[in-house]
Amino acid sequence: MSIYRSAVNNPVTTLLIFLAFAIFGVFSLVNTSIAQFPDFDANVVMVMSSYPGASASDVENNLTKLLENTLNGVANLKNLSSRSKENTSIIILEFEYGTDIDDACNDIRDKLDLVNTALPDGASVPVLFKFGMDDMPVLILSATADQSISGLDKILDDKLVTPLGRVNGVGTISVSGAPAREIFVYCDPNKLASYGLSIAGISQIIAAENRNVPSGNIDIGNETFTLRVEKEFKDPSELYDVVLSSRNGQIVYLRDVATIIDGQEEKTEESFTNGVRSAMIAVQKQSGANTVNVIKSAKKKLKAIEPSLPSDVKVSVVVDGSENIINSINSLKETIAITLLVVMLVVFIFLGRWRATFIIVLSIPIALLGSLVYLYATGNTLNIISMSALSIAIGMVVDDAIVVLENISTHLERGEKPKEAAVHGTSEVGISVIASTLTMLCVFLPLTMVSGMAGIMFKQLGWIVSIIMIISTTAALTPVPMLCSLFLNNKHKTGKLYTAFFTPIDRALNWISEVYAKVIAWAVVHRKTVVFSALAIFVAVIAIFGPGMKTEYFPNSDSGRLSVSITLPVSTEQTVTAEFARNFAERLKQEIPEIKVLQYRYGTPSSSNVWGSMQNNGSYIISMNVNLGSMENRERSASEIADIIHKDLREYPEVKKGTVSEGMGGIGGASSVTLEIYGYDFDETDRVASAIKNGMLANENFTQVVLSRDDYTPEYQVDFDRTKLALNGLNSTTAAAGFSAAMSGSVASLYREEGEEYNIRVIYDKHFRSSVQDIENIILYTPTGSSVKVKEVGTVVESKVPPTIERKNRERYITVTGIVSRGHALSEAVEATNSIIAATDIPNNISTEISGDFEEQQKMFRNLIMLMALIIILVYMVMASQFESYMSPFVIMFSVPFAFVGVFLGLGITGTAMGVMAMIGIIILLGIVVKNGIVLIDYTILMRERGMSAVEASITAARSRLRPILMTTLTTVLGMLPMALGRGEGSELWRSLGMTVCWGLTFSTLITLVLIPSVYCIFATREERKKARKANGATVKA
Amino acid sequence: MKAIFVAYNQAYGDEIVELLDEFGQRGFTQWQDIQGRGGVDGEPHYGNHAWPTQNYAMLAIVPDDKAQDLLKALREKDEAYPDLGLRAFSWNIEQAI
Repeated sequence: MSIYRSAVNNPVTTLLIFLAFAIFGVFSLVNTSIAQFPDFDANVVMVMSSYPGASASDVENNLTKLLENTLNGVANLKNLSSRSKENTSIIILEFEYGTDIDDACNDIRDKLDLVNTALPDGASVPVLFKFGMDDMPVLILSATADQSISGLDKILDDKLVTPLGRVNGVGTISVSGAPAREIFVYCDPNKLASYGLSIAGISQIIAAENRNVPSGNIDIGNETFTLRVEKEFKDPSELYDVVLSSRNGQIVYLRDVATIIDGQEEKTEESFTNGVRSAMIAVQKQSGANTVNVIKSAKKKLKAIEPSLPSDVKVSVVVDGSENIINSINSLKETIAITLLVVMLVVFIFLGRWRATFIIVLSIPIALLGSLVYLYATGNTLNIISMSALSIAIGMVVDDAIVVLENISTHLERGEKPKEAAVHGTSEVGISVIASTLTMLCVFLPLTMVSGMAGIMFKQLGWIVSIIMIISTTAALTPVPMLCSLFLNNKHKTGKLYTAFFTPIDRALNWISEVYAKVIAWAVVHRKTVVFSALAIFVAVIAIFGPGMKTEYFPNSDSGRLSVSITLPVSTEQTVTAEFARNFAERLKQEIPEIKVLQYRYGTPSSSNVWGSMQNNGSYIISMNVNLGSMENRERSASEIADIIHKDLREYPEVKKGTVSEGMGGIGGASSVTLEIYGYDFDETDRVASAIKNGMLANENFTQVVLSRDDYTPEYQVDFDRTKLALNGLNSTTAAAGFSAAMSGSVASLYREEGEEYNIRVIYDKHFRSSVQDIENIILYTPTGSSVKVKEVGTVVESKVPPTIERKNRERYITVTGIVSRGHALSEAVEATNSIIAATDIPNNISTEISGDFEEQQKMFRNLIMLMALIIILVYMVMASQFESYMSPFVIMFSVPFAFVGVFLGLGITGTAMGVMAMIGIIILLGIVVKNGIVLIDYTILMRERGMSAVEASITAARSRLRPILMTTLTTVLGMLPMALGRGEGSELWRSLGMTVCWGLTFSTLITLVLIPSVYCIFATREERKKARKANGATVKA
Repeated sequence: MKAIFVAYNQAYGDEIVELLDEFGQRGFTQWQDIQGRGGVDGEPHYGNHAWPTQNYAMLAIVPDDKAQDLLKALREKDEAYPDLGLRAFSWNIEQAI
């Protein structure tokens, strides 16, 4: 018994099987997490090694080169770059996307083991870091305080960081900018000298005085008592009474030589939120954890924590990584809902029957929910890609059901009983429904096999649409006939309203069919005119829009977040930086009222701050986080606002480097052109790089251009004379220790209060360490106890530290990165860069290469174009086997070039750039546009088999098939329209996809409806003539 | 005794057997999924791409008194939905074992 008959005969089982599917789907929907993009592993591994005392070029020659040569052989390596700076060598290994990073790490470790013995003396064993998008903080909070500011770091550590860290999925939490309490012992060097005291000596004394010593037990009578000496300081002021020495019966107290300040760490990172001193709390998630879930539980925890914080401590959210994701997914949900309604309406208008509409539309939720089971089972997420896939599929899901239902209706009208009509109607079209699904699978299954970034992005799309197609075909062949047999009959009653509404629609559709039949009747006779005008349209559109076609990688999407990084001249003092930051933030607040939260920080974070130390920082670098809120509540887009900030930054001559980037990195930021300039000589490459930078800055395609290489950093070095040191009984180490104790202090001991420990730092008073003279006057003590000033044993010299040496693929290079300005596409910027390079005088030994987004885009495009070729061949093969002919599918393939015409026209008219999403749209089109051709040619062949001539058959097919073609095309085009016109958050990403499909399909349908019958007739009449000639020949012979 | 041969569109399904039951006619022989076409007009029933429908056929040996009524009932069925196609022929039975 056929599957259709089983379904019709067993309605309960059929219904329950699909109901079970739907229930599984709902279960999966509830349990599937949401995310921005499909998960992908980190693809970068850093190998870090330190080589204390070596200069940048020493590190490069002795350590980096050695490591590079070894690591170059690691499998799947895409790029190998390195940064050699003073003391440190960092190798960055970038792997192809999709590489198993754990395997790669093992491979790296094996290679490193080989060279460990060959490393230069003093170089540390290299350590590995995996680095990926997961390491970006997902949640940035800021805590402001009034009275509690001095103890803020401890409060946050106790009450916020520790409980938050226990939340499932939360990784490292770094607090920066919270002033840490420290007890300072500010010494006066002159007084120290007169009493013959040193910083180190005072430190030792303080440490010795600040002790609690357990001293055993004593038995008195029948009882045992413990003995303790308890001399730890109970209050910082006790420090004043510490005795440093007694000279000639005179006691020297600490108060005689120093002042004690219970204060906050000097020169630390400072952070401000909306102009108020605050602490920044960066929350990273555990690798692999779901951002939205982590933030949700972290925020819940935060609510629970808030009452336990002192009343003046306010915690606010600066960056919430989940907001944009949730908004994007919500706007896609809306799109899906609208699509569903639109499709339902189209089906209803064409069929005019509620029951039939219900049966057809029912296959949508079944198929969509079924595909969610896949997401849940494979541990994937609901993300932009998977949700877009759902939206794309809705319009196509109903096609099979429409075809089946239409044929069943025909059978019913002939007078068959519903049950029989359902079975026979389905079995007649079953094969062609399966064949058309196969053509769609030819398009979507290859998408699951793409490698690299495209693979990560589109694997899910391929799977989801394929699964939906398979489920919808199964639904069309089983529950749809079953439901038809239950709900449809050949005598559906029509009310007055129905007649009033549907008679005109029906008449209009009939009229269109008649007109179309007439057009075809004309076209099949004037074949040459039709073919040549189609060709002319093709050539004209490609010639007009082709050369000016702009290309991009991913569209820039507005996530409502900007990060600004401002670099002042390297030696800028922190208070100057603070002043600049305050003024600039003030200015931004005034110019940009959209700003919800503006948080900035500067200075060097403490070493315990993991996130902070991984970033570029220093007393001269300001990092800002700007939260603009959702784009739906703003007039100006994030990129417009970024442009304003750019313009402002250019007004300040003291800004060495100012970058404004949108989002938090990853896909969706502004496109950039990265130009790599390879060459050994620093001066030469610097000259070329800055020439190109200036050229790019002058070009309208770029809003900001930055060089990767920093300037030489000025510094003071104390050059000790070894002979003089030796004469005084000193050596470089002891001298340097004394010098550094004076300048950066020595942590003598810890002050304990309420279970917390604070550093007691002994250091020269601020007045005695603010000039070069002060450095020269630092007193060093010889082993004999006599004192000697720094200037007596050495000289203070000003020098410059060369910048970090960057190498890529074992060659020195410098990068010039230009952010493409708003309204300009990546391709234009690349073109501009190329002409700037051509205009620049570049020596022969320097080579340039454009990488970054452009390189990725080119790679992706190459992949996708190859995929297109493969898909076209596969689609042709499936059609050829369905028709058992080479000619018919060849004719149908004529609709493909006109899909391109539609796409070019659409992109050209709307001024949209062709990006990866548009390419995916084209790939989807390949499957859809041939569907109309299949329906038309299939029916034409049927009519010929029933004895009509090719011309007659074409006209009949045109008249009869226009309705189903219009119906399926309209459901697809109108189903894509909400995507193409989307204005919600994140819609920039999928807009070009929707647009491509709408334009391509509309245009291709309009042209192919006329062209395909004409081309078919050309081939078919030739065939007929050949046959006739053969028949004539046969009769003549006989 | 008369032999009645009915060739009909598969869409009639079990209806013809049910009709025989109504007339208290127990015996019959049925062939399913067979091809054929009518002598005058009507669509061929070939079960192929061009003509996807198929026929069933039935041979029943009916007592003389039932034969006329049965043929009449079959004619009514055919006239209700002429598009489907149903033809019946009858002849005399000379001998039976």
